[in-house]
Amino acid sequence: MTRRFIFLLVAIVMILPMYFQFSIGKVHASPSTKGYYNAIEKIPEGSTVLVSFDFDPGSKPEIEPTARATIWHLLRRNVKIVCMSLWETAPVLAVEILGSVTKQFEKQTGKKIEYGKDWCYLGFRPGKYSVIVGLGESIYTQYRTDFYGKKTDELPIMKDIKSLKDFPLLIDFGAGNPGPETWIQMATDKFKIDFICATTAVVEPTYQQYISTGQLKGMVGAMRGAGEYEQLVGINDKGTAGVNAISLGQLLIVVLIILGNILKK
Amino acid sequence: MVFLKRNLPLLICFVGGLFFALTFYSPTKFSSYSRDMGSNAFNIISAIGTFFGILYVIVYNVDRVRKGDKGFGFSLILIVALFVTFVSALFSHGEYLTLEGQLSGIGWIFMYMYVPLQATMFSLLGFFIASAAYRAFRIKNYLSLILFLTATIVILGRIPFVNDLYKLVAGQHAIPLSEYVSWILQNPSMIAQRAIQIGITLGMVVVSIKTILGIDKSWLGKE
Repeated sequence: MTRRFIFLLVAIVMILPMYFQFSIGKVHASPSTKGYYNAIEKIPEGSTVLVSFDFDPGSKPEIEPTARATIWHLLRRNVKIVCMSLWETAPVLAVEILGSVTKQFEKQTGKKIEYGKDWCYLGFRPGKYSVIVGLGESIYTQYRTDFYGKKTDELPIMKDIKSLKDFPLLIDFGAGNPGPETWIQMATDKFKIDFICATTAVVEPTYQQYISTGQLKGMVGAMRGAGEYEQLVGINDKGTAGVNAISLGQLLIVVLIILGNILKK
Repeated sequence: MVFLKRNLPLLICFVGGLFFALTFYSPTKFSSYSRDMGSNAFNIISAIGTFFGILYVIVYNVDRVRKGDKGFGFSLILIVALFVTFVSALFSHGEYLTLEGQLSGIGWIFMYMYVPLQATMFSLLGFFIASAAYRAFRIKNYLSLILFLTATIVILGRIPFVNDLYKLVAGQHAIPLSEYVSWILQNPSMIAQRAIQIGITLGMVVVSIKTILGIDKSWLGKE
């Protein structure tokens, strides 16, 4: 079996489910995905949550579906969203996701979503650990203005927000460092804030330990988790299509290992 | 000269390292202010470092193009891309969005060139993993067999139709395949993850202490 043939097989197996959007069985949500969903369901309506976009274009395909579904879920629950980034590569991605989801939500539900009142994006701030520690003391020392240059303390959404302690829930779309682990070490344990995250397949096993200790209330792991979460939220988007493609891709890998051991003995 | 080249950097490292480490444990305004100042200083130093890095990349690649070295075309592409990105960023005032909320020049380059290129590079991994699975994963002894069986259970247990198939074969009251996956991830896998994590953290603490105290001087370069 040549390398080219394997590459062709992978391409077929990955593209077909994405293109034709067919299902290969009912997606069952894992306990960590259910934990993620339940943490959002538990927030009282009208609360304000902090969402940190900490990923880059390389991890976008894995994290973006969850990010979209989460923003949708929060808007549907009438929860206000304050967003920020610790990665310099995230702002354009964050603005695109937030802009398109809020527009789509307005179109489908007819509900008016206002910038500054229902959501805001503070942008990227360099400093990693020190930014998180600083946010624990005061948001306004770290973000004097938002991404669009408006004064942060003049945004209606920030009226009752002084520091991290004022958020009942923190959500991190994190692909590495700084990311979920940094938030746990520097803030969520210290300020007793509920914390959930969406992450990539590479780092998902590393963060599993925080689920069992209760430091993470829930986690959506990569494209598979995104598909599970989309099913819980009740939407059918990139995550659901991705689960099928990834499932077939992984099945192909198992078959290839077995074939490799039989044919090349 | 020895003082400037070795003793002064060691002194700055000792005082700075100790001071900034302590600010994380001291909830005062002075600590907060110092940490912010330190963070800004770090950003400025990083920016200066990046500037010299880019300067070196330009000089090196211009030299390659001038000499017509093998593969000089790649150097040419790099120089042109660097120049176009720089000019776009300059005209966009470093902002990704215009005042009308549209993508600026640098925003367009990021969204429609950098994003697809990086996603492509990352997705290529899938092809190489599949190829490596066929060519390199040899079940030669019982340890590799255990690894293969564990990985297979984890992979298959997370595939929707395999779960449905397992239920049909094992019966509705059998323990779901996903429970086995959870057990593997929550027990043997996590034991290894925690051991690695604790090892890395202890290593980082030791290296940090050695650097701050001047025991490890490798970062200063050769004498």
